[in-house]
Amino acid sequence: MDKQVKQPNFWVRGKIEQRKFYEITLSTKTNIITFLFGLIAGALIILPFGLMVIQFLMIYGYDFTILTLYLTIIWVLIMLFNGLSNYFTVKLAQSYNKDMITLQAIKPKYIFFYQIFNFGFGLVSLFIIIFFGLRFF
Amino acid sequence: MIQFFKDLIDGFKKSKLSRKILYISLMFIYVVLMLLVTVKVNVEVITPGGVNAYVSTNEDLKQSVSVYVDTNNDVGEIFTVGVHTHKRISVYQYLISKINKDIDFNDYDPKTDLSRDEDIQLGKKSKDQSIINALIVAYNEAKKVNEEINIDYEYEGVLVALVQNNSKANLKPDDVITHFNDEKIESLSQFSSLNSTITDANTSIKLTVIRDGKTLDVYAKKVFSEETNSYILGVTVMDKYTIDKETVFPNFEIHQNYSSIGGSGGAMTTLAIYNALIEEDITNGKRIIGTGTISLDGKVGKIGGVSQKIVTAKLFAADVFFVGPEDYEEAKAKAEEIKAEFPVVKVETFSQIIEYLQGDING
Repeated sequence: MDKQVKQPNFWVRGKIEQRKFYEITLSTKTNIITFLFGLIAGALIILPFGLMVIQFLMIYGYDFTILTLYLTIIWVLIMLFNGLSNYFTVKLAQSYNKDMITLQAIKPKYIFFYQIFNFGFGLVSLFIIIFFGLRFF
Repeated sequence: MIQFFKDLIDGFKKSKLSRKILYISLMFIYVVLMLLVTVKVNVEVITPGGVNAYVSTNEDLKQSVSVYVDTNNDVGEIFTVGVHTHKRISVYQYLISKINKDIDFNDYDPKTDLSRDEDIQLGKKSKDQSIINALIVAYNEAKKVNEEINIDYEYEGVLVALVQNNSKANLKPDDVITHFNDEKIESLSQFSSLNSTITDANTSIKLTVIRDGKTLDVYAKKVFSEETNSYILGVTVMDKYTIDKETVFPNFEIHQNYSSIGGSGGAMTTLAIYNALIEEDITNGKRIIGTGTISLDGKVGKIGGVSQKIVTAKLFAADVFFVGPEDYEEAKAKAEEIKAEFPVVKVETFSQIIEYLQGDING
């Protein structure tokens, strides 16, 4: 009788893949370049959405009843940015080190999902958003 | 880095057709979104804004308000109301504004209309003068209740608030015009009347001005304005009064707080100063919001964006809204449209605001 092995979900898979990536030792130069590239690429993709949110606030900022919705959108965008920047960091590291088998075996798409739903980062960013959001409004 | 992009392109080439279509569609959406948020249109939007308390008798708060009055009386909840204006908005902002009927639009021509910086400059000067007017009117009205209250002031001349780029008037912002062709200026209307007698670009006008504390003569010529189809000096001017701080009682301090600008808060600033001067709290515990400029004879003048101000007043739970006669109809219609629960009260003069509130107290 075939026994079906239950696959871990995307988030758990992402956590495992992320740990694998952290365990790989890359040169300092590669680390810095991939990290910066990840940030820039993530920011570029988020840019139009970020501008839309800012421009939305300029028009509808008078209506403080939308504060919760507005802060939620910012939080979602920050989480998305976190996912994207980590995804591109791994992708670039893989392009830089073609001969590293352990690095090539990492699946960045799982890291993307894991980082989007990263509880620790999510809580810290939510706290910062609420802190500054309430001060602003 | 190059290797990364090579991998990206290779990945794209090797992908299935459906994937390729998906990637191209996402890139197309990205470009469209970027265009929507970066391409600007020549439109000015006016949105509801916020409310501001300009006056306080609390020493701890004096740095955060425009006028501190040195009494122990309660100012009450009296607020001016402001709107936000945005010039040259993005296509995206235009589209999201269009779906809201509380937002107004004006065409904006960067060549002829005031820039944002000029608007701010004019707004600051209007607010400064509005506060002086409010102090004079409030002190004189409060003097009817308490004779110890006193304010003395004098007319300085016509203040140059803004100078257009094409102006040949040889004037600078903050100049105070005291004489027009050697005739002493007693009011803005007299200046306007003298100015209207010059109807060409060749006549040289002798203007005596106070600039940086020194008196000097400048010679101005007019320029043709296509907008008004007439010859103009190309300057924006307003009355300038100064208050004698030696004889004023009770004392006050003006703090140049420009978190909101413009002269539309004049009537409510007058009311707040008045309430700070008299012992009785004329607000009767109500939250009073209103709009309208104030002139030295106590008249409540026209302002802009009154519909947006009604929306703001509703958001800030006003108990009563005061408005000048020229803006009343628009204000009332908007209040009915949004089902505002507060009464919109038409007032022609500051005295009518006092009468209304006194009537409220007396039932």
